[in-house]
Amino acid sequence: MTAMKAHLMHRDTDFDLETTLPPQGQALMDDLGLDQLCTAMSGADNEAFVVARAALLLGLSGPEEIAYRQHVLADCLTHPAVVRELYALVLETLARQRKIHRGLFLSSTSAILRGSLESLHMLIEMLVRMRDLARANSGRFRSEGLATMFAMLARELDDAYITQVKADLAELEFRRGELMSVGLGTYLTGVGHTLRKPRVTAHPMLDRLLGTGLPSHGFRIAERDEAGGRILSELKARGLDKVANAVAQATDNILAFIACLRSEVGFYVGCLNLHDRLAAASLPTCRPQICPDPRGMVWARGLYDPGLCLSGAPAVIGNDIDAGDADIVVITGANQGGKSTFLRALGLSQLMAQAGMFVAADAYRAPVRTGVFTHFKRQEDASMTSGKLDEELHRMSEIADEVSPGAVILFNESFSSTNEREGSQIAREVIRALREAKVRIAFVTHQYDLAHGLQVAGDEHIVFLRAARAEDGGRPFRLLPGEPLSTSFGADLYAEIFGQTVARARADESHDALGVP
Amino acid sequence: MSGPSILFRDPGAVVLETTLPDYASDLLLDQVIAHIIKGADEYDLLPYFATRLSDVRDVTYRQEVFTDLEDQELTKALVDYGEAMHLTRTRLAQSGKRYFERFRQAWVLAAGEAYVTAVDGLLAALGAARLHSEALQALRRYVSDYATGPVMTRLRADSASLRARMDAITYALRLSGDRITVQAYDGEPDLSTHVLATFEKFSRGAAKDYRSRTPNWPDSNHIEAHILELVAALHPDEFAALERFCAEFSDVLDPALLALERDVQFYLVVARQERWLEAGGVDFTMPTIDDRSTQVDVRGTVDVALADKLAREHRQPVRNDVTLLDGERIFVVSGPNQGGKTTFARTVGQLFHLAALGCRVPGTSARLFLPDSIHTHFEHPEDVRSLRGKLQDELIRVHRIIESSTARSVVILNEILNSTTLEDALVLGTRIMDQLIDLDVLAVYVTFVDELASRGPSVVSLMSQVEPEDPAARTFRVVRQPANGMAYAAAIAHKYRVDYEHLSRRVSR
Repeated sequence: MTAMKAHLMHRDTDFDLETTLPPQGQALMDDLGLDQLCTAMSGADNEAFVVARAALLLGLSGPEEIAYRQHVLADCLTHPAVVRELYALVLETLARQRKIHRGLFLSSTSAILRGSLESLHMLIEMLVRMRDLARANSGRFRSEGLATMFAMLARELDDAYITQVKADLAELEFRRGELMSVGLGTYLTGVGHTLRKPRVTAHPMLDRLLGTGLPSHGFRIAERDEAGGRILSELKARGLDKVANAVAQATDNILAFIACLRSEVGFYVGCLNLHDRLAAASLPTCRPQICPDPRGMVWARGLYDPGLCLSGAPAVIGNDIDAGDADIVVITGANQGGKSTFLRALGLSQLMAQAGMFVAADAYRAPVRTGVFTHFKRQEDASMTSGKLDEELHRMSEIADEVSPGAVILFNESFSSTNEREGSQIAREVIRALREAKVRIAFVTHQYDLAHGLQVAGDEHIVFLRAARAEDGGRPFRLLPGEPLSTSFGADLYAEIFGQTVARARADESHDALGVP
Repeated sequence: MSGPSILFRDPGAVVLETTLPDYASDLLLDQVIAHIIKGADEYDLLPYFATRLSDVRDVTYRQEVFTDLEDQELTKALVDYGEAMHLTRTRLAQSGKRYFERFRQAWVLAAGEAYVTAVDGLLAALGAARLHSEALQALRRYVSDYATGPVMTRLRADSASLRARMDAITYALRLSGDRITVQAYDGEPDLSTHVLATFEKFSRGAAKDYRSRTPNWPDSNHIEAHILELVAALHPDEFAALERFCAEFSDVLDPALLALERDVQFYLVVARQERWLEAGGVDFTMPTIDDRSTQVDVRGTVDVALADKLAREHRQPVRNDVTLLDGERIFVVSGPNQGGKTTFARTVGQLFHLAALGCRVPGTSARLFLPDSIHTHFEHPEDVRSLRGKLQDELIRVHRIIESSTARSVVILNEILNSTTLEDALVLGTRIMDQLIDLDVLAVYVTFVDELASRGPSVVSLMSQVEPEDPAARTFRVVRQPANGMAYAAAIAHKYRVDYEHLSRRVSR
């Protein structure tokens, strides 16, 4: 098997872009704003985007694997110039390849051979340049992934090997004609044409003159015999078939190696790009701690949604969360108080941590999850149609098909497309079933009936956060520990937008009105 | 020497129909049969499907063969036989078209090989199978005699040894400019292996295959011919043997075995259709044919045309029973549209036609008779003539049907009189019904006129059904039930839980 491996993403295997993305992938893209994050990593490069998306959606499942990438990433952050130079060589190789017409579709055998040989000459030249870069920086990389790969380039592509490859490519020019073996088919026409490597004889001309070679009989194709000329080319093509196949496959294989480098180095270059963007906005990043105990939820300081910065928000405020012992976080409070943003930050940080990336926080600690899921209300206004509830329950059912113990599900205003009593009843049953199945939950809700019911139960494994409201009604977008209040803050928004207040019951009065002590 | 027929007890007495009967299009048998024989055009199988057998012994003759063919090995062997005979004929035809003598001989050798494969494969399969049918036992005797006879013995031995000698030849070709040289191959190593080894370190397992797949077929050109002459000069003994083979092997194909190639197709295409529909959830059963009675009892059957269509969509048809108890002769089918009334009517007609071909019928069990005639009249809504003209035509047609039917006939009337007033439909329908009852004919009468369903003791009332949860969905279920035009309304009420049962439970809570 292949000696040429990148293995920057996994210790033992290539990063496989063919892997099917998890069914919840599209919901994660939509709900967490992953598009924006991947675009920040990849720029305008669509293939790099695909790599970033796959890395984020196909998270790693063990602390060891995560550490492997974290170490490679640390190397990259220390020597960004070398990594970017290697990536530039990879992109240059691919750009030059695109200009070579390999003629893969319905083209003649000789065209396949010609195109593949041209590619091979170019690829060998580019591989030598990559090897030289590896040689020049061999001592500077500490991570297992990068150190191994650089050593591999220097070892496998040594001068002796390159010399041999060039000799083989020269032989494939067939300057002295082709020799092939042929068998007889069902209808006694030639079959199994196989190009042979002629024996090196000391005096081929002498053999022929003295008849010391094998007996042979031949004929020439007349100059005006055009059909005969075409048949001769066809015969040649048949002989070349297996060799052209071998050369084309060799070309494919080297290109596949280059493609691997493109994805795997590209992922880290994407991390560098994102890191630069956040650093330019003076936002912190940290290497996440992966805790071995899978029971807890998450502990973080200054956790923020990097998407806010990428979309140009002027000030991004981080939140703290102490849910290291909790199995559910319930988030209530003012509309536009940062609840959805916080939920996105929770989801993104977990996906980034499990992709082996840094996370957008001052400090972050969480266990590995068996999966990250989102169940977000699809539209802001919740008209009470059964179709919407059908749709919500259908999505919940799809999640249930995929979720397993140790996963985390982020709910955003779920089951609110029906009336509060029904919605909270459904949600309670969902939450109860999931908690018993050891699935962790973060639940943003404005359904007081639901949040209050959980609070009354007095469960120590529930953390309540509340979107705070500044005294003047402006939003700081900061969440603080706090029990659910019975009303949301829509009136504030109304006031802000309409410039006038509406008569509104105070929170405690509405408690009384609902008959809640 | 003439061989046995596997289709007819007495081939000399058979008169084959060349077109499908009139009722085939009403019953959609034209579509079904077209699908069955699709891909077997060159065998011209339509007459076999157009001609009903009228003697129960002829039906039994075929039923026995179908039963023997439940042995999948045997069926497979017959498929192989057909393909090998086809190949034999094709190769002989191609041989005649070759310009160069050595290539002509090559095609004769290949044809001989295919013929040996066909005959030996057939004998082996017939020998290994436990045969119960009269037809296949006779065939086995015939093939056994032929295959062990002098012609086949010699052909078998000569073609095998000649092929082995040709296969052993490998020569070397050197191409240089416009010169082609032929010489013995001296074991030089494969260049592609060498190239693969050089780039082995980049190998990643499965790789795209760039080899072209040029067929060998058209290659008997003058260059190949010239090369073959040079090869023959290197191997004179082998090519002399080929010449002798061709001189001896000409015109040996047995006429009976050629006819057999066509006749096995009938069984094979029917079996293929059965397997396809079985995969779609349809059962097939060998009907019991009783020519002393006119009893009908088929359980769990389906409309084969519908089943064929649904199988393409990976859906299963709903099964119905076609059962007439003692003294019952006429089905009156009523009920909501879209519920399967027409499907049921078609099903009954199809059963009688298929059984009279000696085929299995859809169902878990079946008892049928061989009708002396089958008549159908289906309303065609696209018929745009005046209502009066249409009614007139309809009555003329029904009259003719009744005139030409006996107690051993099958009559299927689907939605006739639909375009008239209820009054007319009731009066005319009653008259027609009374005549059918008097004839004692087996009939299916699809109508919206409830009253016809209780016209006499020989009339059975069937109703099409709808899905209670979704009245718009088609069920195709047709069950014994007194005619009741209100069933559809009840179903809709059920869906919204305002029918009697639901309402009383909800109110009482």
